[in-house]
Amino acid sequence: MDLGPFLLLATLEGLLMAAVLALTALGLSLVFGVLRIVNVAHGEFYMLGAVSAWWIASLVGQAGIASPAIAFLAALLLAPPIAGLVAFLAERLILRRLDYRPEPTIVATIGLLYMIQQGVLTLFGPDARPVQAPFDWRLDLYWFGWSGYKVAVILFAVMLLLFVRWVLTSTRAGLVMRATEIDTEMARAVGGIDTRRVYGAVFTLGAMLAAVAAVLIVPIQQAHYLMGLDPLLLSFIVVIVGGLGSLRGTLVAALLIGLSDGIVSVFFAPTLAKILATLLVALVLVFRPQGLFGEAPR
Amino acid sequence: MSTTVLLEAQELTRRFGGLVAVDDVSLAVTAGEVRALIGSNGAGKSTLVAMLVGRLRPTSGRVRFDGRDVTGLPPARRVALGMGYTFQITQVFPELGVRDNITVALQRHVPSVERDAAVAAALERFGIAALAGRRAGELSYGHRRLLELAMATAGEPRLLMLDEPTQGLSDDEIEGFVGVVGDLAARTTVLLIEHNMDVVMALATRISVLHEGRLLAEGTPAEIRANADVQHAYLGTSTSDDSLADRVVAGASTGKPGS
Amino acid sequence: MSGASPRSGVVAPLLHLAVPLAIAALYPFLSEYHQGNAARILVLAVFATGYNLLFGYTGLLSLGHALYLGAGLYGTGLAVTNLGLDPALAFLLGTGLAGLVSLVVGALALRTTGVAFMIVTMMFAQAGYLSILHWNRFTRGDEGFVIPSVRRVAGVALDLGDPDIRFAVALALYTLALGIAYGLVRGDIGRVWLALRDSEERVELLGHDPVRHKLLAFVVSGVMAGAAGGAYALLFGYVGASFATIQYSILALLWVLVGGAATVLGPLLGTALMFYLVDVVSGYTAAWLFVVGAVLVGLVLLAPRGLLGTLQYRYRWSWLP
Repeated sequence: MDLGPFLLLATLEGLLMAAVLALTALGLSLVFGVLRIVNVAHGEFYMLGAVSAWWIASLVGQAGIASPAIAFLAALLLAPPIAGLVAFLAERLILRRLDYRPEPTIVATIGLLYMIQQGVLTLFGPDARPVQAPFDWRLDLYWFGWSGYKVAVILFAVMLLLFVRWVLTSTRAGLVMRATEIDTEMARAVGGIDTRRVYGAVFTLGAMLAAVAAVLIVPIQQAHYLMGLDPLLLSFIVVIVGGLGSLRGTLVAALLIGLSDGIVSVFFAPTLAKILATLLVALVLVFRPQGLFGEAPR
Repeated sequence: MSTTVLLEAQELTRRFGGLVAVDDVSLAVTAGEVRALIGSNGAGKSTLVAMLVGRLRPTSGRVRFDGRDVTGLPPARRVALGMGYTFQITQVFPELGVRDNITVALQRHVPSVERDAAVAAALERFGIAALAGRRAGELSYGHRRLLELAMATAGEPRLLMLDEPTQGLSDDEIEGFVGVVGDLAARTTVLLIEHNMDVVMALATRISVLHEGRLLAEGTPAEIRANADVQHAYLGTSTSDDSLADRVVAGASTGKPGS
Repeated sequence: MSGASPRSGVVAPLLHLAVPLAIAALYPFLSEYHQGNAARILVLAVFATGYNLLFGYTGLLSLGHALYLGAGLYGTGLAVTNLGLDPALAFLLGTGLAGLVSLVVGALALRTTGVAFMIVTMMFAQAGYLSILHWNRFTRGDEGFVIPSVRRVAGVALDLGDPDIRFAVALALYTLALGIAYGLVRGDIGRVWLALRDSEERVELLGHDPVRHKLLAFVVSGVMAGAAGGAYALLFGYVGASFATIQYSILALLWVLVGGAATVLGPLLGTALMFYLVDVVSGYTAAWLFVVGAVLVGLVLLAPRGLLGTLQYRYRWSWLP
C-alpha cells in the first residue's frame, strides 16, 4: 500500500489534533500572558469540560430527548460554563489571596489539580464515558471515508480561534486584556483598569477555552478523569515552543505539533515520541527560552 | 595621593537593542581617591558601574582592575579580587539575622573561630551593634543601608562601588552616612554614583560627569563647578536637574577632603 | 539561622541527635504494622530531607526529583537482579547513578530560573519516567519487578527481610542523611544557600559563586533521593515505575512543606504526618490524592512555613535550624 493515503489520513488527524490543541493551549497561553502564572491545573479544566459534557448529555437523554444533536448542543453550551465556574472560584478564593506570586501559585494549582481530578473520580467513577457525536456524516475521500464530525470540529475550532483573535484585537475587552498583559502596573495606574477583575475574567476564559476543546473531542475520545494530563503536557509544549506570551507562536506551534504528532506516530512508538517531545521542551527552555516567537528573556 | 590606577574602563559601550546606554566611555580611578560619578537620570551611570562590577557585559570595551583584564570575569570573581558593591536599592538578606548577613560577607575571609569578634566589630563600626539580634528584614531602610555597607566592606575591598547610596535616606541619615564613607575613604578607594550634590562635594576628590551615555567632563570638584559644558548640559533641563545645575554653578559650600 | 545568639551551640546538635535515638527507643513499643511503617517513613524521609536542602534552604523548586528516586531504585534493583551484584555495591551504584543524573540535569536546569526551572526539572523527570515505560524489556515497565529477599550484604549475613533489621538499616540511613543535612546547613554552605534564597545577586556580589552552590544543593539532594530509592529497593523488595512519576516529585514537596521547609527535622515530621493521613484517608476512599491536593492548597494559603518552620520563625528558635 503506498504512503499517500496513509499520510493524508495522518495529516487530517493531525489537523484535528492541532485544532483542539490550539484552543487548549490558547487558554494556557492567555493565563500566562496576562496573569504571569503557570496553571498546572489547566488540564483538569479540560477534563471538567469533557466530563460535564457527558453529564449534561446523559441528563438530556434521561429527560426523554433522543436526539444526540440536541444533547451535544446542550453540552457545548453548558459544559464550558461549569468549568469556568470552578476556575472562577479557584481564582477568587485561592489565587487572588496568594497575590499571584509564582511559587505559591504553582503549588496551589498543583493542589487544585489533584482536588479537581480526584473530586471527579469520586463523583463520576473511574470508567470512561462516551458521548455520541451530534451527527453521523462521512466524507468520502476516495481511499477512505473520514468522519464529517471531525471536519466540523476543525472548522468550529478555527472559527472560535478567529473569534478570540477578533476579541483580543478589536474590542475594548480585548484591549483591556492586552494592556494588562503588557504592563499591569501601567494598566492599573494610567488606564484605570481594575486588573483584579481582568485576572478573574482571563483565568475563567482560559479554563473555558480548554473546556470547549474537550467538549469537541469527547464524541471522538470519551470522557475520563485522567484525560487532563496529556493535554496539559501538550499545551505546555505548544506554549513553550511557540513562545510564552505570543499568540501567533501558540497557533503555529499547535499546528506543527498537531501535524507532527500524527505523522510521527506513524513512524515512532507513541511513548518514544512523547519522550522526545518532553526533552524538546526542556532543551528549548534551557537554550532558547523565548521559543520560536516569544520575546527575548527578561 | 598615589597615582596607581586601580580601575580602568577602556572604551566601554553598552547597547540595549537600538538604545546606546553607555557610549565609548573611558575612565581611570586611581588608588586612594573618592571618585564621584554624576549625571542626569538616564545618563548611563548605573549601566557603567554594572559593567565595571560584572553585572552586565559590555557590548564592546574592556575593564581592567589592578592592571588585570577582568572583562570576562563574573562578579563573584571580581569581588574575590577586591571589589565591593552596594546596590541602588539596598539588598540585604531579609530572612536572615543581622549577624548572619555579615557572616555571609566575611566567612570567606575570616576563620570560624574569629568570626564572632569580626561580626561584632563590623556592627560596631557602622553603629548598628544594637540591632544584632534582629532579622534584617525588620530593619528600617536607613539601617539596612548601613548593614549592606558593613557587608560590602567586610572583605576589606580595595575598591568600593556605591550606587546612589543616599537615595531614600533622611537628611540626618545622609549626614551620618557621609561621615561613615569619609572614614572608609581612608582605607579604600571609593567610586560613588550620586545625585545629591552636597554629598558629592563633601566626599569627592574627583568627579566624572556622564551625559547621555558619554563622558562629558572630568576633574576636581572646583574644575567641574566651573566647567561650561557641564553647566550647559544641565541648565534648563528637567526640574530635578535644576538643583544639580544650581549646585554645580553656585558651588556647594561644603568642603571636600584634601587631595 | 534566624539571627539569634550564635551561642546556641549545644542545644541544636543534641536535639538532632536525640531524635533518631528517641525513634529507636520508641520502636519496641510499636505494633508490627507501625514498625513496618516506621521503616518506610524513614527511607522516604531521606528523600524529603535531601529535597529540602534544594527547595527549603536554597529556594529552588524542582518538580522532578522523582527522577533521582527512580534512578536509585532502578539502578540498585537492576544491578541486583540483572548483574547479580552484591547489594551493598548495587546500592552504591544506584546512588551514584542518581548523583550523575542529577549532576547532568542540574547543570542544564540551573541555566534557567523560576517557572522555567520548575518546568525543565519536571520535563526531565517525565522523560525519565516515560523511558522506564518504553524500554520495558529491561525495566519491566509499569508492572515493575520484585527483588528476592536480601540475605547477605557485603559478605555479612544480614537478613533484610527481617522487620527489625529492616528498621535498623532504615534508621541508620536516615541518621546519616540527618547528619549530613545538619552539617551542611549549620555550616558556611548552608548560610550561603539561605542567602541565595533571599537575593542571588547580593550573594554573588559578596564573592560567592551562586552556580556552584546551587549545583551542590541539586546534586546532594539527588544523591539522597537516589540513596532513598536504592534503600527502598533492597529493604522492601519492589521496584516499580510509580516511584518515578510526577506524583513522587509532588509528594517530596508536600512532605517538606508540611513539616517545615528550611528546618532539618521538618521533612521527617512531614513525611510521617502525611504518610499516616493518607493511610487513614485511603481507608475511606480511593481518592486520597484529593487530600494531598487539599493539604497543598491549605498550606500555601494558611501555613506556608509548615509546622516546624512556623515555630522556628515565630519564636526564633535558633536550635531548630
